[in-house]
Amino acid sequence: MPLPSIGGGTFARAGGPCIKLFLHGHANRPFFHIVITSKFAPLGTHPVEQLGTYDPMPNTENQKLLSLNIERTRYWMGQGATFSNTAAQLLGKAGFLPIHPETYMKAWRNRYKVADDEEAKKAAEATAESGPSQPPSSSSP
Amino acid sequence: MFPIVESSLGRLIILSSKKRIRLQCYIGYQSIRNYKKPIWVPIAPSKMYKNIVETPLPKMELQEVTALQETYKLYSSSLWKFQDGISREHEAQMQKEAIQVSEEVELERIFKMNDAENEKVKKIREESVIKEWEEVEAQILAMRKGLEEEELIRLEETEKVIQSELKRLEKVIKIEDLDEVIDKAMAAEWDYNFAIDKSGKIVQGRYNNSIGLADLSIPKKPNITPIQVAK
Repeated sequence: MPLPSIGGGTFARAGGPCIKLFLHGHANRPFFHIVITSKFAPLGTHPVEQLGTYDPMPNTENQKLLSLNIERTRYWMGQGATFSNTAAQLLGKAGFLPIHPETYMKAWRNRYKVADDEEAKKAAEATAESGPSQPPSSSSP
Repeated sequence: MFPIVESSLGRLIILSSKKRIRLQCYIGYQSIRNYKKPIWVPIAPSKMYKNIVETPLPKMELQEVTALQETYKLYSSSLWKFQDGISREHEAQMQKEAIQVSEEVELERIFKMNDAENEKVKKIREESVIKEWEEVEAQILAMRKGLEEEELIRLEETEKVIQSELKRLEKVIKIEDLDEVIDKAMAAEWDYNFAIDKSGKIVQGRYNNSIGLADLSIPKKPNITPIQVAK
């Protein structure tokens, strides 16, 4: 009898409970379940419990939807569950957890990149406007 | 010792054992690895003396990141501790309530909560559906207007074509006038009994005076210049 997607697995591996993103979906259509499993469980292991979902593809109103069973998540946090890096970043952006340092890092790196690209563009435009420099005149005695 | 055959899948090492009378062949397979290779496999010659230079983080960024990480750890640990306390209290309360409240009452409470949630979602959905339909209606009206305009343009163009055709057909022989035209054509006599001289003179027929019976009026004096005879 196959286990249901809402849970039924066990904490068989070492590492303690960990809240992660479990990839479902199809080719060119990812979809994630937010689940709780052992920290070092292999990727295809059946989760202990499903706590929510996350759709990375934006909908018609340009929204990426995330659902979370807050009550159960808080229960597992009380039992000592950790979050994976991606799950922590996502829930930080959603407002459940504080904002992750990597979010800030990505944001300022993006800003630097945009500024650098704009400077390079301006420099390229300036060189194009000034035109090609004339070749030196050869004066042979 | 054993022949090695290279293919797109990998290296095929053909092993054979002659233990029995019949030759038994089987293929040892080395696949192309899509993962990190095991620790006991030796380093490839191309990677042996590779100089891997890691670009360090800028100093400002490193300071900022360490500060952020410390504050994040503080927040997270405080959250966990807070949550631990809440979850213990919640568990104790749930155990207390489970004893007191019967199943039926609990079900009723859950159904009420569900109904309230359904009402809220229904309201939101109805509003969004109305908005969507209004947009669809506006699109349809715009499309209809466009079609009507195209129809008007098409009618104008057809009208022009019709008018040009009517104009062209003004000079055409109509069925009502057919008899008249036939009579006229029959009555028109063409005099072929004439000759043109080398000098260009038209010598008319013997028994006819003029040739102007049809609509074409032939001038009395020819428009052709007389041919000059070479001297």
